Amino acid sequence: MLDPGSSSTPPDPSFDADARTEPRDDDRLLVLSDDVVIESEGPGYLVLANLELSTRVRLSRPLYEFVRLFREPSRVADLVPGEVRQRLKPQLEMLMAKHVLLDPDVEGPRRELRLRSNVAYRFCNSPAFDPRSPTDFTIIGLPCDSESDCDSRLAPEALRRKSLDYPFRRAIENNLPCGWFDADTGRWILKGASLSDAGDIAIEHGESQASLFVRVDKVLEECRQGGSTPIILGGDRGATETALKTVTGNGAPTIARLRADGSLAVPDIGKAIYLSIDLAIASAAYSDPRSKAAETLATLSDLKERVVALGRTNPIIAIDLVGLDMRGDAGRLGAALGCELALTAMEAACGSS
Amino acid sequence: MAAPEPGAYPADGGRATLFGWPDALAVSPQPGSLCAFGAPSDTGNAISRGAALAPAAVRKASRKHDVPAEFASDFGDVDFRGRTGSAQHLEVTAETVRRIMELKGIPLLIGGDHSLTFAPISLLQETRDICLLWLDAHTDFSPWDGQEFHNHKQVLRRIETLPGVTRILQFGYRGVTVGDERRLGPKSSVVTSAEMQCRSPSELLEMVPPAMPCYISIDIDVIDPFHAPGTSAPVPGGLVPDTVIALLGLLARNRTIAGVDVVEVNPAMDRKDDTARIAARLIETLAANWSFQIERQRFPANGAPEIQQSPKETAP
Repeated sequence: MLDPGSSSTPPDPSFDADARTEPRDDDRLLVLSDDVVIESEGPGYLVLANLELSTRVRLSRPLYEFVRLFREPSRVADLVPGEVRQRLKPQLEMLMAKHVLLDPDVEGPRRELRLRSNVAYRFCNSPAFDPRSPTDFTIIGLPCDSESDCDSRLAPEALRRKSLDYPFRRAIENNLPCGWFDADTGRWILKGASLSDAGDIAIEHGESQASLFVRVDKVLEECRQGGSTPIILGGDRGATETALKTVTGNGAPTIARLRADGSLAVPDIGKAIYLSIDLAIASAAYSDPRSKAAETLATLSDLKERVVALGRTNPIIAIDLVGLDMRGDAGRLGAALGCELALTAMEAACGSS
Repeated sequence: MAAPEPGAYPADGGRATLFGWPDALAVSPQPGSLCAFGAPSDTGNAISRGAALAPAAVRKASRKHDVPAEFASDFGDVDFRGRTGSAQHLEVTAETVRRIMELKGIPLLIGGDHSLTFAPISLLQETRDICLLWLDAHTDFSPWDGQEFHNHKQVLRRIETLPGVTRILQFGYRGVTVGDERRLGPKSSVVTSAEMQCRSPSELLEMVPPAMPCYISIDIDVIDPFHAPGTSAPVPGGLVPDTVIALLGLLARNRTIAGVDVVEVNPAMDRKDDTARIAARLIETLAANWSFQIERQRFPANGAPEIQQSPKETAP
């Protein structure tokens, strides 16, 4: 009991008519949530965070000491005298609202998975996606590899990390994107094209494909507002099927896949396409560049030429990079290849639009 | 990553040397010899460690080759112990180069990262004007603010300020870059990897001034990373090894070589020592043709006719 002068007898609910249907706060059994940790502290205060629900609250040290009393389920009335209880009422309500103190008899709120998660690096160090300021291209990571035996969940991170070699810049004189120089063709690409990174679509490994589809759908819809072309960093090849449904809506899906041998099946000229770049080329070329199989692989300049040619004949409405297997050292080279192809494909999309 | 002990990789009771060449500690090299030394330092690499392991890896890979040893020698590794930072590593590397120059040898630096190239070039250009042939996927021309140190991305920018470096040929620039790096300054010409693939090795040789000693700096990333993956900043779309080998063979037969380096081999990122093996093959090509260099040094005024590619060194 905090107040030595207070009674140790619990109040009788029968004195209060309302308490018969709903227990008074004083009588309610409360317990400190297991998910709460001390996030930070300063002179005279601490910040507690509920890790499961992403809530946080700043408490004075005396209030923190009071909260600690609920490590075992306890009733407020057993801990503090009546006049103090009245003063504490707003704080108690706040602590319950922030899920620091819980009623063990009441089921807690269910955590809702966020649509997108933050990432350590943004593609080409581009600005973070802001739905109020649509850009020409929006990067979205889909670190999902449950549709194959390909280890691609870390591929978006690898592609973003490598892309820092190609930083996105704006010219100081006109604030327009500078673009990049392609030394292989001797041409500037993506001059004036804006770019942002929306992070990764949140993945709950083991969840049903249907629930993932819902989030992919929502994120792609959000990112495509304002006419932005989505650039999806997979993920295994299942990422293509997932994203394609949203991008093409109810229309017949039209997909052009760029494969390791350089083949690129192009549908009817003029038809809008979803361009999927299969980075399995990296694993194939890496295994043995002198092998007969490797001789059938296309060179980077061949691949770039095919992508550019595609942009001349068909509008490109979305691009993905999939199938980058991060097992072994091929992933590092595949990321380098992927960045070059992504920027080339974006240039092709600019030309096609 | 810890650098190997100086002179590590013992074999046959003594120090294992490049291609089994004579150990310079035991036998003084003849004038004009190609004098190899390892510089196991990667503090100048801004991306990743690992190039410090290259001298040992290249020496190991070289053991499968049979290369004439009459005009060749191995000075072992530069001892970087107790030396920290890029500036100190350059200083101690320069000491080895100075020793080789005093013996009238031609330095062959096995890096290490590319920042080390400054050490031999800064000394060589003090005695005569040189043409620098920079084989690299990158131009290494990032801004440098004039301090006593630089990293591997800035090294050519700093070298360009040296008065005795009167001509720079950058071969192999490629890929998507932030800016157009084809014009590095009045001394320099850039030949992109794509342009190199359209020219024969003989056409590339013609760009190298015949009357000026040439320093050849080979960043292994000039080779396509699917052939030579063991390097820290791979750029897809590079040259096949045979293209570089053909060019080096022509240079050794037709130009006076003032010095050579092979840098940025990273064994920690390599695939079954493939990259170290390619580095050894590049050096082998120069060494196998080194008798032409000795001839040029003995009879510098002869104006020997250009010896073009041998039948097996055709353009790919």
